[in-house]
Amino acid sequence: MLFTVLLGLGFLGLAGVLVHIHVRCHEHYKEVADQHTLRMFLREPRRGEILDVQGHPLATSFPVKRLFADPSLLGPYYAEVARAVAPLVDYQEGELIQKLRPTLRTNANGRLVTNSFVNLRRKLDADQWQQVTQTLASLRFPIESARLKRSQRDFFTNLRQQSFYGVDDYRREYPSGKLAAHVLGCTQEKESEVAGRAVTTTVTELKGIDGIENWLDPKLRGVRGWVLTETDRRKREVVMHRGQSIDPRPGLNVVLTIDMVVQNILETELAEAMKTYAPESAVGIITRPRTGEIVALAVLPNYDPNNLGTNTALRRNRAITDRIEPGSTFKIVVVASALHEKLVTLDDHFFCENGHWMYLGRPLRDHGSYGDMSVLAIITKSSNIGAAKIGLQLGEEKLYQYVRAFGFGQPTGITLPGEVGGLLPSPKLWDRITITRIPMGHSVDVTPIQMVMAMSAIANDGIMMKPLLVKSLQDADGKTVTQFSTGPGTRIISSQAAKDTVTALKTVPTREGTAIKAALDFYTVAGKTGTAQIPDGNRGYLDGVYVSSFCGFFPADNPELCLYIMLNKVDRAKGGYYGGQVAAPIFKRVAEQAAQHLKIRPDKEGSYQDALATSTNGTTPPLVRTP
Amino acid sequence: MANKRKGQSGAVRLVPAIKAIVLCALIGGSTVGYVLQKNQIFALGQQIKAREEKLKNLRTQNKIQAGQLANLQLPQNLAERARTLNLGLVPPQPGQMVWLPDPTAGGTAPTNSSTPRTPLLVIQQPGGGRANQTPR
Repeated sequence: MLFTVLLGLGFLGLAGVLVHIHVRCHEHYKEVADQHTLRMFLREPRRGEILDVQGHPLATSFPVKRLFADPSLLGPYYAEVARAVAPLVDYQEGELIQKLRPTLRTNANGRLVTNSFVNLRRKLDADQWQQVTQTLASLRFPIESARLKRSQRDFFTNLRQQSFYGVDDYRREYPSGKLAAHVLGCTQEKESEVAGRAVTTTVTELKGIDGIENWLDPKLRGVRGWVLTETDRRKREVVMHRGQSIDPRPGLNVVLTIDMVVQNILETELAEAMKTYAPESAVGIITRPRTGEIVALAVLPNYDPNNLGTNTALRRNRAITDRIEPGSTFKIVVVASALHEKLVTLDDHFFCENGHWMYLGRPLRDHGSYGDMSVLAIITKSSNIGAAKIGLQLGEEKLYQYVRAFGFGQPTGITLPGEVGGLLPSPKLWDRITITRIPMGHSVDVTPIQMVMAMSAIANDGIMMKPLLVKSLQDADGKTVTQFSTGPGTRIISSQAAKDTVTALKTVPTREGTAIKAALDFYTVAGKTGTAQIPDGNRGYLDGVYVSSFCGFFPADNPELCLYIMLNKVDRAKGGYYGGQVAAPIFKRVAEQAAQHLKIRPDKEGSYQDALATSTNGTTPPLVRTP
Repeated sequence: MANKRKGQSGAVRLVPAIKAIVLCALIGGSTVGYVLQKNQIFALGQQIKAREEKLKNLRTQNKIQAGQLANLQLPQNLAERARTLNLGLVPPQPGQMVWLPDPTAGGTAPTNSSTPRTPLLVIQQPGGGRANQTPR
């Protein structure tokens, strides 16, 4: 009887313990069990590509393996393994030996354990990864010649198969190297922790830090997927216990308005100019005036986004961040505004003081000793005094309003980070001579992108467009998700005023004008040169260095492309510094090649007949039908 | 008495024995079936995993090769190759192109478009000046 009672009590106690473990401590033990069996495998999304307007990749992501090692599986053979693997993973032998050397640490339970995770941070392509696995598989150690115990055999099997493991990842690549680097920007790896059920994983993700990579980072990045599953003793997934399996969603592809070929032409020509004139920097921008599309945007010196280096100054996109006094290219603003206000016509004359004018005790000079000049001739010859007198006629308030309307003093809204608005003080802050300085492009700071958009507005019949750099977003299958456009634009001057301004600008690339070197064989060019001194803080202007620029478009009456070429800090001692000498020839070379590539229809009469006449063997040149 | 017990015990023991055997067979059979099924599920899981790996590798290869193809088709690379191989390929001059009227619109073909166009190359003309000489 007593035995039965004791047995009953024993069973009752046992049942109590079981209830305690299974009911009250359920969560705790579940967590312990999950930690041993549950694994979360993250699936990295593919970062979207950046494509040019023709679909050529400018930035792309290649599948690679991130390399990790488990020193606890290497035991005393880490040095031999390091020696075999180091050349394959671009490591110094000594460095890899240090990394793979097993170290002891005390875990949460107070036990000494060997480290089992070394992040080697090498992104190996498929071939390299294969070499690593093959090398490890073929490793033989002297001890293996003897008869081994089973545990020893298992050790060497694990060493060969599991001591190095790869995790799927992507490497960001810019196939064209430096091409359009300032537009594309660059990426940087950032570590973060991803917490899941019972599992926390450290991940490294790419983050755009500049250019389009930064501006559209959330669209490019994609969404990470994961698999929550169980693994067996050999770390193989037990598929039947797979809990969650979420596929990653790749980032969207960004299609730019940039044309890679035109971009290459522009950068090549600017690089030549950098060699010849040794300016501090050079900027070139090409737009389509009717749509505001940016066809090319180049900044030199540039950098290779594949290999960032340490000089962060090279990453500055001078086309949108650098403020310059533009010089005479700015005269288009005052003349177009006065024409719009009908204060002047192209035939109205101004006395240009024979090249030297004292206004309120301050001198204003022209390049030549000009007397009476029409408004048209003021543009042709680029008379500072003439432009100043037109500015005076316009008045401070109106001049300010028009300069603002042309987009100066505010960011253009280009989809790139870091754009500045330039500097256009309110008329209340002007001194009495400012009104004579702004018309010739001084006392006002602009960015190259503002200048080219203002010229594009004149080319576009007086309608100001916003710059468009991103054409569309596509999904991974190439289907368009979002299409971008700039909308109808804003009219800032009348169509007639724009046409008159174009008429004046067409006289610049002529023998009478300042930029004969910008004239093209097959197209009528309208444009304006600029040669500006560079402010030296409050100490006036730097001596002997200039901003030389040319901003123009073609065909003049049916503009397809608008180009802005600017060389900053051109040294007078290098042989030339006027915009017409330095920037205009670059314009010509770029425009010719870009027109060839884009098959822009010539607007000069008889150009085909000329070509026929000069054909040496009298055969007809090849006929090419444009779409 | 003994005869009676003997006759009774023989009749009584057979039925429970059969029952016990059937029960054991049921339990054993279902156990073996369960284990077999589990093994089959595990094996199928391994096959799924292997096929997933294979599919992933194929996709990776596809991406790598698509990238390589895109790189080979880069305009700069093509131009460089044409130059290196000395093929005499140059872009046509504007004066060498003729714009034909668009038959559907009845006017001239539109010229201002950001529609992608294939760069054209023309072969150096034999026996005379190069096709890319600028006509004046």
